[in-house]
Order: sequence, then C-alpha cells, then structure tokens
Amino acid sequence: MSALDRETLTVLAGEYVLGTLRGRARQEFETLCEMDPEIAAARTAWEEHFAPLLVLSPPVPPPETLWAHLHDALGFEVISDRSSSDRGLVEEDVPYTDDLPATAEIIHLRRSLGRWRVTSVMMSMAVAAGLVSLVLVRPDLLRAPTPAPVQVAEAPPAKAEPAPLRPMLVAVMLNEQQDPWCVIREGAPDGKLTLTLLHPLPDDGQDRELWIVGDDSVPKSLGIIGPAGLSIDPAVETAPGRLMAVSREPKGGSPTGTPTGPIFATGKLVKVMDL
Amino acid sequence: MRDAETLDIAELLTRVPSGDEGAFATLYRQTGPHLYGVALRITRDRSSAEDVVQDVLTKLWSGAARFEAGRGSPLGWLLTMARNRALDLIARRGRDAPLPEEFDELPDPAEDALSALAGREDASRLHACLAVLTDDQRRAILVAFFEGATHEEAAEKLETPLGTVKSWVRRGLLKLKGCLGS
Repeated sequence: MSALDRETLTVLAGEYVLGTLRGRARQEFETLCEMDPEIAAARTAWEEHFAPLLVLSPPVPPPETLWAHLHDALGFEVISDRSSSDRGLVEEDVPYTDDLPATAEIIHLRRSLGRWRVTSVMMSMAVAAGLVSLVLVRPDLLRAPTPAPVQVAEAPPAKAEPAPLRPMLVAVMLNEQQDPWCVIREGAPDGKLTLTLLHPLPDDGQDRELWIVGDDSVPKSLGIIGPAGLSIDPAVETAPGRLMAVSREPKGGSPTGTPTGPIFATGKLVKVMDL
Repeated sequence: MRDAETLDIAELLTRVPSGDEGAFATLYRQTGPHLYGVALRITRDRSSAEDVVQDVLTKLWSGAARFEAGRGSPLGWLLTMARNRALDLIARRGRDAPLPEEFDELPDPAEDALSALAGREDASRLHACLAVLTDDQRRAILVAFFEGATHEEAAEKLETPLGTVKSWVRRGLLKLKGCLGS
C-alpha cells in the first residue's frame, strides 16, 4: 500500500508528469518514487498515457552542429555524410576486434571486451540508468574521498558568469554478472579521474588494477584500486569511446605492465554534460 | 505506414546500444527533429534543447536507457525521456523566454490534440478519455503538458485566475484517470 491515498497519488503523479509540480515538491516526489514502487508506477502510468501526445508535437530540425557534437561526445571515428544512402551510412568502425597485438594478455582482454559488447545488450539497464542519472545529478554522492589539496590553483578563478556546461567523461563499469561494480568519472569539477566503488573490493588477497585502452589498442595502467577507489590526475589520453577495464592482479599490480589476470569489469567512456 | 515506422524505430533502438553507428545515424535522422521539437518547446532555449537531445541519445548509445517491448510506441518512449530531461533542466535553470520563432508557423499541439489523435489507433483510448473532459480541463492539461507550463504560466496563457486553472488540472486529471483506468 502506498503512503498516499489513491486520489492524492493520481493527482500528484499526474502533476509531476505534466510538469506543474515544481521546485521542492518535484524533488520530494522523485524521492518518494525511489522509496515506493507504487508511487513510481503511478508516474510511469501517466507517462505512458500521455506518450501518444508527444508524437503530435511538431518536429523542428535541430542545428547541423548537433550531429557533430554527438559524434564527438560518443567517440565515433568516422564522420558520416548525411546525404549518403540509408544503411551503412556510417562506416562500421569497431576497434578492439581485429587489430590488436597478439599477446596472450591482450587477446584475453579483447575477448572479455568483445563479450562485454555483446552481453551488454542483455544487461539490466535500470540499475545502470539510475547510476548514470546519479552521476549527472548528484556527482557529490559518487566522489571518492580525495586527499587534502596541496596544490595552489595556478590561474585565478574565472569571473562569475552563468555556470557553463561542464563536459565530463563517465563510464559505468560492469562485472561479469553485468552488475555495475564501479563508476569512473573524469572532468568537472576538479579535473581528476575518479573511480568510485559500488561494491567493496573482493577480499581474495589480490589487487584490482584499472586500465585504459589507448588508440594503439594497448592497455595502459591507471593504478591499483584501493578500498576508497582511485583518484588520479589523468595523465593518460582519455577520450569518449575509450574502453576501460579492471583486471585481477597479484598484490602490487601487474608485474609485466600489461594485464595478466582475468578481466574483472569493463566499461566505455561517454561524454556527458554536467547540466 | 505507421506500423512500419514504429517497427523501424524499435529495431534501431535495439541495435544502437550494441555499438551500431549506422543504426545510430539513422535513428538520429528519423527522431532528431521530434526530440529537438519537444525539447525546444519546453526549454525555449536552443542550446538547452541540444543538450537534451544529446543527453537522451548518449544514454541510448551507452546502454543506460533501454527500450522494452511493451512500453508502447518507441518514439513516444524516446520523446518522454526528452521531455523529462527538459523539465529537469528548466527546474534547475529556470525559464524566462517566449516560445522561439521556430514555432511561429507551426500548429499549437495543445489546440489540435483532440483532432490529431482521432485517427491514431494506438491512441484511441486517450482520445476518447480526453473527449470526456470539459474543454477548459482539457486545455489546461494540454497546455501544461506540451509547454511544461507551471500553473501560473498556464493561468496566464489561458487568461484565467490561478485557482481556477489549478482546479481544472486537478479535476481533469482525476476524470482522465477514471476513464483511462490504471
């Protein structure tokens, strides 16, 4: 039974979906939805009732720049010509499948990443969707504890203008069971690359090491993940579309500089705007 | 025609999260103007509307948002996401602009919703239930829905006292729910 009587719930959920519920009331309704499935269901029901109306909203051609921005944000490598024919509009460009150096470690990594691409289709996305929203809406919740600041800012703070959009890169890293295991974000507000654990580190006497796969298809270590996650200055080239992986390694990390253990979690960086 | 289009978008939605750039480009071409139209009508700001479209499509590409069969029209689902994002955005940034000129020549969907829904098989129930509302209730709800209007904005647009508009929305929603069922 919901905490709200039926009539109140109908109107509140309806006003939320219409958009007439604003300010704190809107936020509180969202909190209620998270706590009470019946309230969330009332919201979804209104969304589905009204969805056919949205299709009636007259289309407006978006600016040409939007496609380029999307391309950039998603890390597509080939800019398509929008006047070209329908299928195969964009040349298929799937890295990490055929052109990796043939060392055993990398083949292993590649295979795991390939499997990730396929099985991600079936994973439970509700969880990941919630996480991405959480990263966007409440980045503070996911920020790993950072060491006390020691550097002094080199540039004076910019003058107070309306807060600009802050691009950042986010990857939700899934383990073999396709459960989100940690979240990586890089960019605003501190420019660091931060890994936040969503589950405790396994207590198996081994370390977990974070890797990024570069343009040359070679994984580069970003460090060993500690109990509080990881927070580093991203000296590596991060970019949208890059694959990230966590491998299981002996204590102290991979002795060879490339992943030696099985892949523990993988994810792909996407650029998002911290609205 | 409608069915072919629906199937097509549904299929594209399943191909996009697995990294199919061609499907993504086709999806963008087919749905971009709809997404942008919905987002621009609510945010009334071109740059914000672009952010909304980008956010929705990024979530699709990364697999963070996923269409489930049985959730009705795939285009309706996509547009609902865009609308929600646009509402979140104006909730945080506010909105203080008239409807952009892009809409000058376009019909007002709040005005023709009833007749536009009439021919659509997937919306017959919504159409019948909207028809049960009084003209005032229906108009208040549709203005709020399409423009993401607050009660105050709807009252201004409808040139009606605030209390009256609130009551139209409330009674209209209850009547609509009674007709639509759960």
